Amino acid sequence: MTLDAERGENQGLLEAVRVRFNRFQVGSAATIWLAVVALLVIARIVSADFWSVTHLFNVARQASALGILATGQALVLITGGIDLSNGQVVTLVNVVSATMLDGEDTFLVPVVLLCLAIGAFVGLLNGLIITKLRVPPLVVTLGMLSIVRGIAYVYTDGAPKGSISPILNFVGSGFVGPVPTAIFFWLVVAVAGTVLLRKTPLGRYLFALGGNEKASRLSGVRTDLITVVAYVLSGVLAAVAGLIISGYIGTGSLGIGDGRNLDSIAAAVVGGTQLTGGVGSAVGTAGGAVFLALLFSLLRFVGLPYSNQLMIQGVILAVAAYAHVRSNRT
Amino acid sequence: MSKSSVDRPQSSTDSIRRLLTTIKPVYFALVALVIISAISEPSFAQLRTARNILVSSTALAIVTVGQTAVMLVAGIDLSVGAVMSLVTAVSALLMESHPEMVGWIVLLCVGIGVLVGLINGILVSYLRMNPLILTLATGTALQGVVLHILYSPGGLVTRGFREVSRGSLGPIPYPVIILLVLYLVGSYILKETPYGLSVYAVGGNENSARLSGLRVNRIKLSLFVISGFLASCGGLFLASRIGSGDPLSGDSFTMDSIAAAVLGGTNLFGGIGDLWGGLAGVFIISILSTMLNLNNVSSFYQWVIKGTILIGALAVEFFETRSQ
Repeated sequence: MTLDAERGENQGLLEAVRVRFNRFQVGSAATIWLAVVALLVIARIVSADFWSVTHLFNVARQASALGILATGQALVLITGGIDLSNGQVVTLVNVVSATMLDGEDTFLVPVVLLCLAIGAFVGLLNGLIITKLRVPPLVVTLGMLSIVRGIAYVYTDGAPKGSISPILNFVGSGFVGPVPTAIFFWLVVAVAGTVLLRKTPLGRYLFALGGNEKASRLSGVRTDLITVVAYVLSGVLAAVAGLIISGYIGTGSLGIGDGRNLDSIAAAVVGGTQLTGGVGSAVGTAGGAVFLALLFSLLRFVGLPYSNQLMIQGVILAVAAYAHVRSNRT
Repeated sequence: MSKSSVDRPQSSTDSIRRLLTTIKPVYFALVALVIISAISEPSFAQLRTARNILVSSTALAIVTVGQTAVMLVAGIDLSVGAVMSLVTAVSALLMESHPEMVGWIVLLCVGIGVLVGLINGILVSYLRMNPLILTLATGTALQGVVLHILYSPGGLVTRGFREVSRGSLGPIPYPVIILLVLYLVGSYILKETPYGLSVYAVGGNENSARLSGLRVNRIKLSLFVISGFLASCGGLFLASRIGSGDPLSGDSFTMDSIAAAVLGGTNLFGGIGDLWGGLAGVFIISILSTMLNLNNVSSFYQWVIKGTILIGALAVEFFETRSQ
């Protein structure tokens, strides 16, 4: 980019920028990372303290759970579906792990496996009802949201008990050197998501499904199986995020997953994933999670109350929705 | 019912079967629920319980009309809950400080709803934004506005304004009158007027509706305005019922209105649905929670049951269409 720009004169520079910009496409994965950089610059202008290593790693830690959740959401959105139930999977995993571990590492492995199985099972149910009974994803996962929330309340009888074990605590809030542990899990998920979407047949099928379900079915893609896999992955990733969040807060808390479904959709959408299916990326979704975490941290940093944060989040979502329209036209 | 007698079927079982297939499953579900409730809980059959259920479902019934209208053109309105919360906050706060200006305050609240509907409608129809994301955005922003002006429940509506939800005209409670008028007028508009037919045409196939000369964008815009308007009316009713403003009071109505419309047979992809089915869906939701409360079933199970019914209702539809 810089080479192009230096070679040309003023007009050439503008042209080069325009071409590059068009290639990025407004609302694509690259745009959101540019927005992240811009936000970092703004943060630096607002306060030099914001750029401390501790603070930035803290932001990244906050982005980790959201990023993992949003990666699962993006996989589902790419198929043209939606997963509203993932936030309640976080809650259920949180109360189950806190109750069962009760502060001890003794049963860590079976409990973690159980939590992942819970996520997979919820996803499996979502996927099967959507594909076999032909109920729209919005309704299925909305119903599942209600069911899983109810189960979490019934399981705890409304009063969550227990606490998280030391190892899980290290995963959620510990550090390796200066780097929060949770970030490593997120990196693994983001890289795996990128490889899955760009390098594997499954990834191609996910895009094909979202682009045109009928055409992909007619060309031999096992659309039902692919759909189920997408929801199972979203459920499992929600469970992973739930474990990390549990590790951070340390106890069981029934409201912990509320609203995270919409946050995950917001992160994916801001990162360029489209609700109509067929468009999206893991890299962009990661960018969306970083952007939102950074933004909220900045807003808190300058002392804006929660109400203003909501307003700004709404505006950003609307801008993302508009960017999608623009990118579809070009 | 008249349809099947006109058809002159050969046998009576045939006519019954035909009759059964023309009635939507949601009505069976509602009747079954009422019968089960009446048998299992004697107090259910009392007039007071019926009245309570009616009053407690009115706000949802009002909002569901708007939600159904938007869903008929394959839209969705996730901002209704925030509009309702905003309206309860604004009306309660203003009525507390200016009790003499109730009329103007009500107008202002309705204006807020219409404005939100206009914004949603213009952005969705003319700028082609995705309705799910856009109304999620406006809903989120509005929720921020609500929390900005009223962080915890407060304010007080006037005594007269409370009468809207508590009073009655002779033996008939106002809520019943509100619901009847709203649903009769709404159904008439949807089923009998050119405008209503064009709504179904747009929902059925937007492109062919556009090619046959309908002003598709204007129709979609009008439906979002209706949804915003009715959300503010629902919010006003809610404020009258609870007597004060509550920044989270509208929260559950977004999902519940979608659930009620879907239970009533409204298709998420547009073109199919009517208001009465949605009203039945509203009653199912509120009778269910009343009954479970009467039977001391913890509200925790109610979530499980609600979710199961929502998914189950559409799954039943699947089996029906397959057997035909």
